Amino acid sequence: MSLRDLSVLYLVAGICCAVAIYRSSPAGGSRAAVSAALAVPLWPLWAPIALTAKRAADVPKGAAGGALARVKAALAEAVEASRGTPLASVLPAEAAARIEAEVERRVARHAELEALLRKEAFDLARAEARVREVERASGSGRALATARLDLDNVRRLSSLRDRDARALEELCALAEALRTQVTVARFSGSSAADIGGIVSEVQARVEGLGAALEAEESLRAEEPIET
Amino acid sequence: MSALVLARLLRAPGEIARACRDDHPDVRAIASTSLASIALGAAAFGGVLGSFRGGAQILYGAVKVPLAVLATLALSAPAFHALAAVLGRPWPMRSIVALALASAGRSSLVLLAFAPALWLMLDLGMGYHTAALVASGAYGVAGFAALSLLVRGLGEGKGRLTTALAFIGVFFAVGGQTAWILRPYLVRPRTPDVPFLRDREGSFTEAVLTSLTSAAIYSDRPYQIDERREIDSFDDKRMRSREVEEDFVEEGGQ
Repeated sequence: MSLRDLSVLYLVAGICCAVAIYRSSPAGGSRAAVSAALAVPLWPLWAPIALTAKRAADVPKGAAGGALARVKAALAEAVEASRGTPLASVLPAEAAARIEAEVERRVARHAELEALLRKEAFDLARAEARVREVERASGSGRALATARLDLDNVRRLSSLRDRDARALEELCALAEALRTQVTVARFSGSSAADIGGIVSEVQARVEGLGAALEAEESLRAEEPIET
Repeated sequence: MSALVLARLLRAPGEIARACRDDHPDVRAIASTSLASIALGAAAFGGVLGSFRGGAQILYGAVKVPLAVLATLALSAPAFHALAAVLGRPWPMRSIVALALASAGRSSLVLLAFAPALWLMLDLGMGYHTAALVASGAYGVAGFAALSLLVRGLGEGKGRLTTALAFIGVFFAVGGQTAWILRPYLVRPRTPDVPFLRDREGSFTEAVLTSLTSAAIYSDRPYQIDERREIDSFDDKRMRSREVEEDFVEEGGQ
């Protein structure tokens, strides 16, 4: 096989990847076109990223997605307000980026939960109806226990989702309060210590949100499956 | 290209490495920004190298250096993925590719930082051999910058050093041969016509072995320039270019 043949094969593979990337792009338009064009010469590097990488934009448009946008905006404004002042040492851009990244991760998890609970297999009403049906039919103890376990699991997932949503909303409010406090501190000449407390609280809330989710996961992993 | 990702590439490589390793939603932005950094930084450095001769070599250098980096990464990425999986890090291909791109992007930004200084030195009359050494030094420092991100990205745990060494080995082998194929980069000003690619003369490995052998055999003989063979107008001092004059002076006028 000559270099020319290899180049032709490379180009064909690049064009195929470009088409796949363009078609799989949710937004379409110029961004998808640029991404597809990049794939033609660089498909070994770009195709794995473009075709399989999780997208920050895949965050849902629901309450959680709105919370993420609010947190991002609040953090960006707080960092901007603190730039060039002693307050910047308490809220550097890197810390804000870390908080934002963690919130984004939690919102993505919340979106997964939402998508899961929209499926018929995880529908709460269906699970409750199933338990009632088994009880009415006086089925075996094993069948009833399985139906109740299924209902219990769906309820746990629902409560996880609701708790996530509440925590994200509280975090959102806290980030907006941080933005306001930084702005006030900047114009009133307050010291960095005045906003240190609220920054720590935001970080603690973000970490707490993650820890609660991970604790729930480990509890579920340890429980034996009852039959 | 994201300015925030660019800043994090330089100032917080640990975060970038963690994001690549953990398959963060930022991976796409990191990859695209790294590609842009490679295109910009490596092109600037290649163009400065080409400015030693000037003319078309500036454009050739600006095209070939990023091409060498990207071609090396494209060829090495599957090997990186396989090595990482075998050595205890079975991560998705996109994580490995993002980590490799981020490392190369960081090194390209370092090359971009060196470019103005190198340009100034060339403009002040630095010779050919010195320029080659300085460029090699710049590549070395850029390589360390990339390595620092790569090692962070591999994370703690067993096999980290082995994986890093394996990556470096593959990158050097593939990168060396790719760069060999795409040479020349630094061309003497007296060269009348400079091709985009020089004729294939063996391989990178053969060249290294030949140089090592020559250095061992001829290490006790003084270096002499074969003046007659190199250029007809050498006797006319006015026609000597700057670096030939430098070589002439170095050899005590022999």
